[in-house]
Amino acid sequence: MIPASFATHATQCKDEECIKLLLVDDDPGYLDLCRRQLGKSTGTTFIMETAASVEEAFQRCESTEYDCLLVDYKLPDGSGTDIVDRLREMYEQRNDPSQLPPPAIIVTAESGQHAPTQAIRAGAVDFIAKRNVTPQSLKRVITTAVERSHLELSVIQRNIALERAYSMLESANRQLEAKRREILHFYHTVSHEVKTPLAAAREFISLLKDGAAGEVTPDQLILLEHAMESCDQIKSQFTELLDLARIDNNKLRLRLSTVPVSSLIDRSVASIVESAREKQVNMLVTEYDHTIDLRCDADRIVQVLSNLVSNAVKFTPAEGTVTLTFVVHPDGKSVEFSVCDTGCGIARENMDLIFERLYQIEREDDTVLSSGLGLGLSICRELLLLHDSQLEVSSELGKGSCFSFKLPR
Amino acid sequence: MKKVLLIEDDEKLSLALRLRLAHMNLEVHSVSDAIRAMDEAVKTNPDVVLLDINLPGGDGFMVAERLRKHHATMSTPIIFITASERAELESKANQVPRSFFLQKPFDALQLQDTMEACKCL
Repeated sequence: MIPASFATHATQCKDEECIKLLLVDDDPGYLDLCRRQLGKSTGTTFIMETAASVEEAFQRCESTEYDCLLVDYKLPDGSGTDIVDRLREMYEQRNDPSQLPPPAIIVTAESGQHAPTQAIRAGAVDFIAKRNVTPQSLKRVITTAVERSHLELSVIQRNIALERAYSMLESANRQLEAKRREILHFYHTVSHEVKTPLAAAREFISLLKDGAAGEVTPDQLILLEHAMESCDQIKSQFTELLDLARIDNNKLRLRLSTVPVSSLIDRSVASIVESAREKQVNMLVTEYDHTIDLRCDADRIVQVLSNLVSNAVKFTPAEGTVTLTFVVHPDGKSVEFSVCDTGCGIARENMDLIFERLYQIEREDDTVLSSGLGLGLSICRELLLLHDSQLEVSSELGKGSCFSFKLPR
Repeated sequence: MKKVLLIEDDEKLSLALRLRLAHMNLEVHSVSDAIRAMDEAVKTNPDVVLLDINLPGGDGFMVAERLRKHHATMSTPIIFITASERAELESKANQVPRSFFLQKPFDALQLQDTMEACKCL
């Protein structure tokens, strides 16, 4: 079945299949026979034009597009395969890979001749012996050749479209990568420009706290500590931005070492103990085997755990509990950290959102509960992915949340 | 009293660090560019050099290279300080013998620990 879109000569054929054919033979009687035989065909309309020589056939093909050529092997000025050769050259010169020369069928005097082999070798799609020509065989050989040619053309066109789409994607990807590098460079620059004055501000505050400019009252000390915390917050926010830009650029490299798990846990909890106490949230670390060592990027795992613990404290009300658990999997090959809280929990619809960058869980009164850019969990997930690990979350609204991840032992 | 040479171009941070170092009972000399750094180092012969990496007139690594070449400062400990988080800077700094690395902003305590490691406190 030839697709309707390929019936290019729609003026003469409306609904049925239509094939524009060039018959090439120097024998007018044979041309007439073919015309009559194909004219009887039902279901397919053949629009036929004729040529009596290689030269004439070639000239016709230059001005008209045929769906198929039926060419006598022996012509007064050459052989049928000469037409095939010249057509191939003509199309090659056009240099348009989306076009193919029309399929040519060689008609031979005898089926046993060497002509068929030569015809196929020269690029003819098929051959038919004159004495085998019947209305059915002629129609079949032509429609098959045309269908095959259309299929070939559609494969070629699809390939071209794919190549085009691929190169567009490649170029878009290159642009995106360049953009990402630019962003990373921008963050590096901004971070550098901010951190120097930040270091100065921090140092001035620190000098005041240390009494370098005179005695400090307890109330003043509290204010200075707040100022210091704000400086640290600016610093960690820039660090987060840089981390994400590094992740986007595949520039974040792990520094693997073998460390005792107890140091990971102690470091993660140490920075949060104070804020938990202030909020009157109980901070528990369940019993675990202190002799275990892990191979990981210690700073990054501490970053993940601190982030999880500090989030848990943030979303847990006074008298609530945050529990850090470390267990070795029964098979001994992996370990699991989990941080569970008795806080507000995460609604099912927000479960995926919490990993999105800049996402902040909002309270009903629209106040954002946490400070910071909301990059933390997104970074945690990426840092764990670099460790071939996944951050899992389970939660029940109003009851609490549990974040956990595994590491190989 | 031990001597510190501070090479830092940010005026405010230089002031803050001068105060901090003086508070640690150190004699502080300071310059704000790479060009004068070398002259000052030879003149003052410090016990330690606190060296910013990003400097006008040449970077901290260039200064470090010159310090290492001069007989007077050949083995003076260098503490690199930088606000940049480019990992390559730290590895480059680590290649300089007798050097330390501090990321801005740093704690007074970190500075003190590093000074102690340099045997300057």
